[in-house]
Amino acid sequence: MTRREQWGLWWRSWWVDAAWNFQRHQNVGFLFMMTPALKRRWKDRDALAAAMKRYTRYVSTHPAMIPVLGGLSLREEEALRADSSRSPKDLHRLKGLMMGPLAAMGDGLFWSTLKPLTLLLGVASVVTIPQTWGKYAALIGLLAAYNFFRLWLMWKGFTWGYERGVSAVGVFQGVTGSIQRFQAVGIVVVASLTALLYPWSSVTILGRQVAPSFAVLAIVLLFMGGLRGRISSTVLFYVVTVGCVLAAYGWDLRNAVRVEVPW
Amino acid sequence: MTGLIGVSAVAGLLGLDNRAVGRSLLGEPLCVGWIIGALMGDALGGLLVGAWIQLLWVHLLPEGAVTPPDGTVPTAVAVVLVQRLESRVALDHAALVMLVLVVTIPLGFISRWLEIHLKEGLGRMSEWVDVYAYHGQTDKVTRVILWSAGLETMKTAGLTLVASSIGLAVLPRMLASLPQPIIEGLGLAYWFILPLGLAVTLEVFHVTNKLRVFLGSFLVMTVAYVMVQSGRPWLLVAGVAAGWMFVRWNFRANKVTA
Repeated sequence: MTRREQWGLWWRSWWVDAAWNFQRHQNVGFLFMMTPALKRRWKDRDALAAAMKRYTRYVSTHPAMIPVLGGLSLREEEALRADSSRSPKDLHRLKGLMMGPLAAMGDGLFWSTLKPLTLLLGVASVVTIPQTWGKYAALIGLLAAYNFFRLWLMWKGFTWGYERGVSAVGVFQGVTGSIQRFQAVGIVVVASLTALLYPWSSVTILGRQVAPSFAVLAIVLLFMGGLRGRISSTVLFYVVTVGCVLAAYGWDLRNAVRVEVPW
Repeated sequence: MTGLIGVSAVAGLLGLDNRAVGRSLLGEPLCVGWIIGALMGDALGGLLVGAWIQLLWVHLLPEGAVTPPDGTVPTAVAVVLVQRLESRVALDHAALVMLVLVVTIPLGFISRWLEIHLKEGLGRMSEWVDVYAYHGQTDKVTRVILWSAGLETMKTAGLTLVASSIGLAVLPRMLASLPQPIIEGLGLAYWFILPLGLAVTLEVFHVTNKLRVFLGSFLVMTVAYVMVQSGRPWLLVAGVAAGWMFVRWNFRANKVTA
């Protein structure tokens, strides 16, 4: 695999979800990603067609982990080309073995941890940093950090899959511990926002200013109870909105409750 | 109208990043609100609108075959409506934002419904790819990818344009006749968005396994705030050090072994 080829694969891996479908998930995007590499290795038209057919099968893994699968597939394609008696079933078996663990790691690392943490820090920057340029700088920094790591992982994924084959999964051995640490950071950020955000605002209830931190904590825990009870966040949003409107009908809110927030 | 078409086109491209190509977070509600807000002349206002929708749905993950509600369309439409209506109606900003969110959040589910049907259609397109692969037609595979991306973009852009146009036609009349208690209620409900968003974020981080980390951090931060307010910074240093040790002890106690 040359550097130029790796650039081409890396760029095409961005499109792996473009034709996502329920039947075979990322098969079309994976074939699109692999096509230039297959054309380079299989000059004969019939051999190329046979190779392309191998990539119309079901593929489902995390988008950032697809390059590992791609590198592994390239490795197997070269083995197939070197040894014509070798069966393509090895390729399908190895892909099947790798898809699940890679999906679990990618989903756990990106979807469940880094993405919500980045977005949470972004929201925290928006509501806490007073200067507008500071908010924008923080957001740009967070997006750059997230995407730098993700794109680096996608680049290296080809190398790991190509050089190590199935044992490329071993590269991600320490991921679970990192996920736990990142999630703990996220929880500390949420706790800090809960404790510090509303004291900066002003809450007046029935003419008396109140310290809202513990009230906010109670409300957050109440919402958590609702979410744990399988009430969706959208339903909670509408319940709270309707509840506040009904409260306004029964209570002169203008004099009873006044909340001023800095955002 | 030209402005709406341009904004919808940008929303379509951002939606493509969110659902199909790139996945760089530019299609997330936070960034969509920022970018569309900048196009409409108030980046900060758009950022806040995006932040609320982001927090509401941050726990809905596209794992496997799951299709979560689309955050791009409601954010783009909400930002457009808030920016355009703010100068036209005499309404408190918080109440206006809440009303617009109430009206635009269902668009996320409409967009998801369209996307599910789009994905089913792409399944049939995937069968054509079998034929192209059988004949070694690599350029046609590329065409399928580009068509799929184009359909996704048009779905998002079209829905944004239609919803924004309807909203701008209907909402001013609706807002003019809105009873005062509803306006007050909406203004109060605005206060609850952030706590709800924080609760949703805690769900993503599986806080039930790390409840002591959360409560310990909350207490440390509250005490630190009180110390800063009391004007005794040396107490703050000692308090934060003690609190840090407490949080680390709790983290170790809550640590889940791999």
